[in-house]
Amino acid sequence: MNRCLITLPSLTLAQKARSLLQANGIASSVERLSPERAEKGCGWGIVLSCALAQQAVRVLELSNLPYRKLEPLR
Amino acid sequence: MLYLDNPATSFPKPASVEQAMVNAMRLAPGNPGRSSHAGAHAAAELVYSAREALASLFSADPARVVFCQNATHALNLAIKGLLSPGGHLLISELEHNAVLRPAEALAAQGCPFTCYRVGRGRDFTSPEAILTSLKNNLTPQTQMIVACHRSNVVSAELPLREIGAFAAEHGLFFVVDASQSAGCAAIDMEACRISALCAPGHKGLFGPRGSGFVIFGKDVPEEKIGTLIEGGSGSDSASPRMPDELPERLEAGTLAVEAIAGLGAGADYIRKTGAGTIDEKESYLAALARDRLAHLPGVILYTVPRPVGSLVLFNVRGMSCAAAVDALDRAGIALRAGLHCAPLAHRFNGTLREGALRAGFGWFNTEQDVYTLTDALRTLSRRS
Repeated sequence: MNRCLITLPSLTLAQKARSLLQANGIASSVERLSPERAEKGCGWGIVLSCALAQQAVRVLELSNLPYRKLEPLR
Repeated sequence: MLYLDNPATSFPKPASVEQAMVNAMRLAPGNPGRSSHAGAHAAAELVYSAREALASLFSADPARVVFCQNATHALNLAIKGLLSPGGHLLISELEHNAVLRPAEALAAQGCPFTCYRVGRGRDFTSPEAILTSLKNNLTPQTQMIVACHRSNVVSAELPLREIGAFAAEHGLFFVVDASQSAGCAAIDMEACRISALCAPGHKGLFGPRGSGFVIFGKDVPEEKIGTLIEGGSGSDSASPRMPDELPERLEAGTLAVEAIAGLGAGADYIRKTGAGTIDEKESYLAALARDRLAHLPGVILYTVPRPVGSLVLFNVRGMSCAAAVDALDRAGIALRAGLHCAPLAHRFNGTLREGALRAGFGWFNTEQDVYTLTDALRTLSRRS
């Protein structure tokens, strides 16, 4: 499975994003970002299948949940 | 011991609360939001579950639940965080020192406050009387209204919907002290237009001492909420400033994971049992006690029109409240006496000079407990 990462401003928002996506049938997991991925030193994100990433982003936008970036995980 | 000091802190706690705290200590090692190992993840999930449990009780967003050490901490965060320099504050004439003292401190810094009245006689706690007083005390600098949902001294409940509507109409923040109502009264933050709901975890929500929270309403601009303390937040660590986003913005430092786990379990217990069911039983016991005490000539019972909740306030004729509470303690009955950290409410009640005894019935009390208390007071009042 190709995995994608959606970065979020905080752990709590990452957890909230995971719950929202789960309610919409999209599985994801909360991950701590490596320092080079985090914009300001420490960060959090959710990892999910790239096949569902665009759908996930739409869910987050409809819920006004601010995400920072969507990128493929290598 | 017959425990009737539930308004101070509830006892006993449901077994699930104790178990949740032990599990947190044993099975969730690590600092939530700091490390990425399994133990830290487990701790982070416990914390988030508690946020969700509380949010569902109050129709709120889990990401707006900020954990505190108690309601006093929560109220200080909310009031001082939302008020801008030079702002005027309206607080009710029943507020606890957890509201009055921050208000006094802010007044010394140029943010004055005024007490609004809650009505007298038949108008006691009527929306009309309260809104009239709010209108009469509104100024161009008014920024916030604070209201205790239920008083910790008089058996009163303030009308949150009407006050919230008034606050919204005038562009004011509405901060609610739910210390005596969280867990036994339904509070819909959205419907009541509440900007910040503050509560202890350790009273009606059955959590441990050292737990509390403030929930901010969805319309409160989080980046504008002033911080009381700054420190590590687990994200954006390269920045010298606290993050803009709630809840981390107001949760500097390590969270009290065991306490939060206990609070989450308490919230789950409330959800399963039903806040209304709890309120019905506690109110019934208090009403039964009032009815029996009213027939004791040696007891001074303080009542209000349409009493609400689990409190009964009284004195024993010919005895100071301190002496009476000590005598009851020797008889194995735990109550609180004095001013209950609420001089405003005692001034309203006419007991500011002498204080009073307060019995607060909880979910785990029984009718027999009412009889035990009233029999002890009958004996005590005959001796005094």
